[in-house]
Amino acid sequence: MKGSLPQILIFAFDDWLSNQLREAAAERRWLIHEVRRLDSFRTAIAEVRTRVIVVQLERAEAGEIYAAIVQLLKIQPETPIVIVSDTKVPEVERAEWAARWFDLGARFVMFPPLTRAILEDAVVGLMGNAE
Amino acid sequence: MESPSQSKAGGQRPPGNSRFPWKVFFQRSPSAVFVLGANRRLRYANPAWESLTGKSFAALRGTRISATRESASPLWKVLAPPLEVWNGSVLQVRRARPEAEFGPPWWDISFVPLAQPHGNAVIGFLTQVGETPEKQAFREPEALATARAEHAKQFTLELFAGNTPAMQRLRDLLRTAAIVDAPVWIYGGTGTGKGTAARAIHHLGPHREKPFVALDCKALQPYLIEQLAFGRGGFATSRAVGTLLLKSPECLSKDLQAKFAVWCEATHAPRFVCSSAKQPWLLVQEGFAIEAFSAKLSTLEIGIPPLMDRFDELPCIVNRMGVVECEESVWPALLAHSWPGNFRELRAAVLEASRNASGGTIRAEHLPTFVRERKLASDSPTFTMKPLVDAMEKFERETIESALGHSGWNLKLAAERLGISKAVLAKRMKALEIES
Repeated sequence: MKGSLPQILIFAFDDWLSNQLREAAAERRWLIHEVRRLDSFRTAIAEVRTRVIVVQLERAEAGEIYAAIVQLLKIQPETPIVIVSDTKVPEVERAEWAARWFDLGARFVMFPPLTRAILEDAVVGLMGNAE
Repeated sequence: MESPSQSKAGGQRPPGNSRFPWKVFFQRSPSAVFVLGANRRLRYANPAWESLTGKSFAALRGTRISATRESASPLWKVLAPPLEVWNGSVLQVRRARPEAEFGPPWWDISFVPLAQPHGNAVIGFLTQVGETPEKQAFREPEALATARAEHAKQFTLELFAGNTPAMQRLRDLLRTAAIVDAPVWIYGGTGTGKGTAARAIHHLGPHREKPFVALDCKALQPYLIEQLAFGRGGFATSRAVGTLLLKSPECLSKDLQAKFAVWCEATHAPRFVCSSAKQPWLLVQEGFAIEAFSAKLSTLEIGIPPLMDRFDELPCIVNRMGVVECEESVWPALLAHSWPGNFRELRAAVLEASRNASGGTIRAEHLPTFVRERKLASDSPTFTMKPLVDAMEKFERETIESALGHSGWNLKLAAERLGISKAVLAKRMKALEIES
């Protein structure tokens, strides 16, 4: 029944995020679908079984990622999105960035230093709520 | 730790220093200094302190500085030394300025105890750290601003269009909520559109230039919510948020509810909106919300009606979901379902139907199975809802009569077939009025 299992879609430029979530996903029989390219990401977000999307923001592609998120939320507004910043942000600017990403539709936002526990808790919580 | 003055015998002034003009040093100092007596009352504060706190020492001389008293002002709570200082320890603390609530800016206060015959006095040195938010200039990338503007376009009052009195009242309430800028509590069933209503209020209101932030208190653990709101670089430390929506706030811990209740009254707090399935007073009654939180965040209460109450407008609602065309046969099928998940469930069903129709005209067979089955069940001439007791009684009677028929109305054989004793069968036959 692989086709009906809930899925976490991860758009990242390395496998760090998926490695952090692999154990939690296996325990709960969730699939992890990892994509590295923007066009693959655009195709993957249309999949019905995706419950949570984790996006690692790369500054170079940020504009296109934002546009893809807006497009997705127009069709599936309930999809929980976790935005993970790839660069360190000064403490005074964190709230400004986080607020704007939440405004865009993110349900959780993370800044470096990234920790497995926080990522796991956020994704597991959002997956559980979406089920 | 022993204070320097404690090393002097009996806490007495050193010989020859009885006329030492210590106040002159502090009076001219650019550092803010204040002195509390052993009775915790303000004994001295220099002009730099007056300038930093914006208060006159002459007016406050002799005031008791305590953080624990109910009536204590925010300034006293910030300036009150910790217990360790009264016990003789030198300590430095960082606290948010009274009007900043959570900082920045913060005040660094160094407390130094001075041994006195009747207990310790305390001298405090106050410095301000951290820029005020006005001085920070955050430059939002154009791509992000464009995407946010595009996303915001979806949230208009037209989403709550409808000619029923309930919908007209809802629209009026949403418009009022946008104007009054007071905390709003939206309640309604799952998927009725509470979050959408909150966003509509935000985009109509005075905070629309700033971002809208929705925190899902049910999905995210309380410590994650606390970190986002009150942690380092959290929302409470800035003025970044225009409207803060707390979804299912009854899932927050009582401590966190108390923190939000304090924050919502801060000078530069965002507009607060809460959304829950139940009304705030009910959450208090059931012990899920503290009274201070519920009272402060529910100045205006708005109830969102369920989809069932808007069945007359179903075609309009579906059309607003971006559906190209629907055949007439679709509407009876949609109306036969009760939609416990409200708009969320309807949107998912319409999306699936649209996908099945490959973006073309939606026909009844394109609808999800659960919708079609409900329609078939309601169309069936034999389908009539009966009380469970009646249905069970009918089934039992038919089964017993069948067993009796197959056994030539021999009670012993029939009881064996049914797997019960002859006495029980006789008892059931009597109850069901079956003649033997």
